[in-house]
Amino acid sequence: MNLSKIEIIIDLIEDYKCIDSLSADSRLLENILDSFDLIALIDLLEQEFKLVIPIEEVVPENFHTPESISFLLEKLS
Amino acid sequence: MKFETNKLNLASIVAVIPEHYSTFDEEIKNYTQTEDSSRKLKEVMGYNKHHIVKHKTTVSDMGIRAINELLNLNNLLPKDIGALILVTQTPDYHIPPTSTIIHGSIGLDQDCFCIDINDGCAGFLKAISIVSGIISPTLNNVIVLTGDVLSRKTSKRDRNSFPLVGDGVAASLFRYSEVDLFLYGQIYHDGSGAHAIMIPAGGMKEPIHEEQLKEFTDNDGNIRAATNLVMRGRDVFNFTQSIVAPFLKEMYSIARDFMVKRVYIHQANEFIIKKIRQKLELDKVTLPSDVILNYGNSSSATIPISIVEDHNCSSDTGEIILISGFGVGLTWGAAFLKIDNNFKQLLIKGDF
Repeated sequence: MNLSKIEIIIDLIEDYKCIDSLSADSRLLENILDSFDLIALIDLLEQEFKLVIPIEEVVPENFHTPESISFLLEKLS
Repeated sequence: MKFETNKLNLASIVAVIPEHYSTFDEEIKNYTQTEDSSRKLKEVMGYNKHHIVKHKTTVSDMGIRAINELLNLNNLLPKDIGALILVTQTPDYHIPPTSTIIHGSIGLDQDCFCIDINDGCAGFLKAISIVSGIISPTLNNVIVLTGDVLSRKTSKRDRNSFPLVGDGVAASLFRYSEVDLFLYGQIYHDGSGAHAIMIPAGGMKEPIHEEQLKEFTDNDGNIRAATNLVMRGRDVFNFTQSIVAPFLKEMYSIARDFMVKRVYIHQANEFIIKKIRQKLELDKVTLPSDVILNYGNSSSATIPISIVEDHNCSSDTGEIILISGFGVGLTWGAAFLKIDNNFKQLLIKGDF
């Protein structure tokens, strides 16, 4: 597990949502990110980590928590 | 459903767009969400400007202008038109069909077949499937009029919907033509997602009364009423991701057999178009997407407006194009179409 990557992911989400309470296992799709936030987050992640997230990877299980996003980014990098 | 498109070609398109427009920068103050998040969405979704009607402009107001211009552009008389197929979700009235209002205003022949189709983003495809069934040497020059005035049914404080909605119509002329290729189209439905994009109140199921006109704040922070358009973003995105993108990938793999140079897809939003472009490994010339940035999403009219807006298209007369629509229903489809050798296009902006 790459903790620094998770921290960057958490920072990105907290900055975007103006919140300060996330952890690696925060359940993002339960009242934190709506579908439009998710789209914005994908763009932020692509810019930050300089990669492309293919549309087939934009599924709820890959964005469930900051940790699951980290696993996705590991897979794509 | 599969339908053949080898007995028709796309001869001409006239699009009519309202002159009046609004920009997302002007509208940000109307939304409850933070300005930073709205600005991020502007960049990702393509929220820029959208042309919307003033006052009580209807689809027939713009449609009559579009068809008259289409007739002039192609040296046709009203009696030459074999059928008028209107696709809209915003008819002038519940009764009568808006196509008959247009029929009367233009002075089309009594023998001209008229039909209204209640459909949105895949409606152009659905209309073409009907054209393919009726067009013949004796029933020729079929006009498909597509478009909406959905800004009139969308809350100006709904950031998920209003910035994307664009009003406008497109009149497309189809001519009978034997093509020596097996061209075809496909349309599919998944009615289990019928409520993903809807206007809950105003039909017979939920007639309008005082309670439904009251605005409320939804879970995403958008303020709207039951009489307004609502898009359940997660359902719509899941549909696009899991069904539309693989479907288009498959259709595009066939497109190479027809030497397709251009792909025109429904202009849902910039993010979706970008992701589909990535999946199909296409560039912006092959799969253009400026309509959402310049005009907004005018549902069934975005595909023909994309064709008109694409300046490169004029060099592709006589070529086969691939078009695809997806959205309300849920409905999705695609078709291969031949562009007429004398294809004529026009885009008019005006207020009514």
